Amino acid sequence: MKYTSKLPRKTPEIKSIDMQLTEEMTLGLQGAMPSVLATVDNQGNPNVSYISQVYFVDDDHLAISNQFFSKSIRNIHSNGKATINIVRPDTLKSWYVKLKYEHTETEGELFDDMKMQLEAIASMSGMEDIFELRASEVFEVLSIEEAQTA
Amino acid sequence: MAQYFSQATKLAVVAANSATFKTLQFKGTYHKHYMAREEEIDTIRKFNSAQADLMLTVFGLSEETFANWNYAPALAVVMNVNEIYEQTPKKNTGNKIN
Repeated sequence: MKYTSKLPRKTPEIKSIDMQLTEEMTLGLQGAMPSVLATVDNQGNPNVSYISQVYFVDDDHLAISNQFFSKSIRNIHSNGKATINIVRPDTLKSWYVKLKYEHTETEGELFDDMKMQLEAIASMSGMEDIFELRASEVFEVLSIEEAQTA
Repeated sequence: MAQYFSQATKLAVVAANSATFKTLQFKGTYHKHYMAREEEIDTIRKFNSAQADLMLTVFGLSEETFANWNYAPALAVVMNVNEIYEQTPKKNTGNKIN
């Protein structure tokens, strides 16, 4: 099943190549270091959560696995806003990726691929009985900011 | 990051024990921030060292891989904690515990 966000659509902003996901970032998406998802409710209350799976869809889109985080998903479906921090474990290079929610998938190729990858991540971490993919949440990448470390 | 504190005073922080996956989320309000002192830098470096050891054990990567983990924090942020939530990965997680 696939449904599209009822959120109002804006004219897409013109993006530079710097606002697209790059190959350098993909190692940060493989689950060695969990990413952090930040959302906010309509009263401005923040919510942060570790997420076990961030899936590269294409240069402009990411998907995350919906397993437990009902408050995050409620916020995302309500206002469409999210930011993910992804980290490469080998270099600690880190990026803040600002996202706009697009749609949810509960079956199909993307869902199946994410389910298979999540099972591998669960197996690595001994969470086979706990990780269960409920849905794939798909986002458009709005901007990417590199975090600075000293 | 410091520029955000003048715009938004509500904070949320998530912390996990990588060995046990015990995870908590702390919610509250911004109190103050300052340049990290030696004690905060030392704390973070000890944490990163332990984390790197764990990652080496679990993932079997080379020690050179983790040379970059010896970074120092720039800022220390003090927050008032008003709520704590259980976020350990498990069914029905997310309950407020304090």
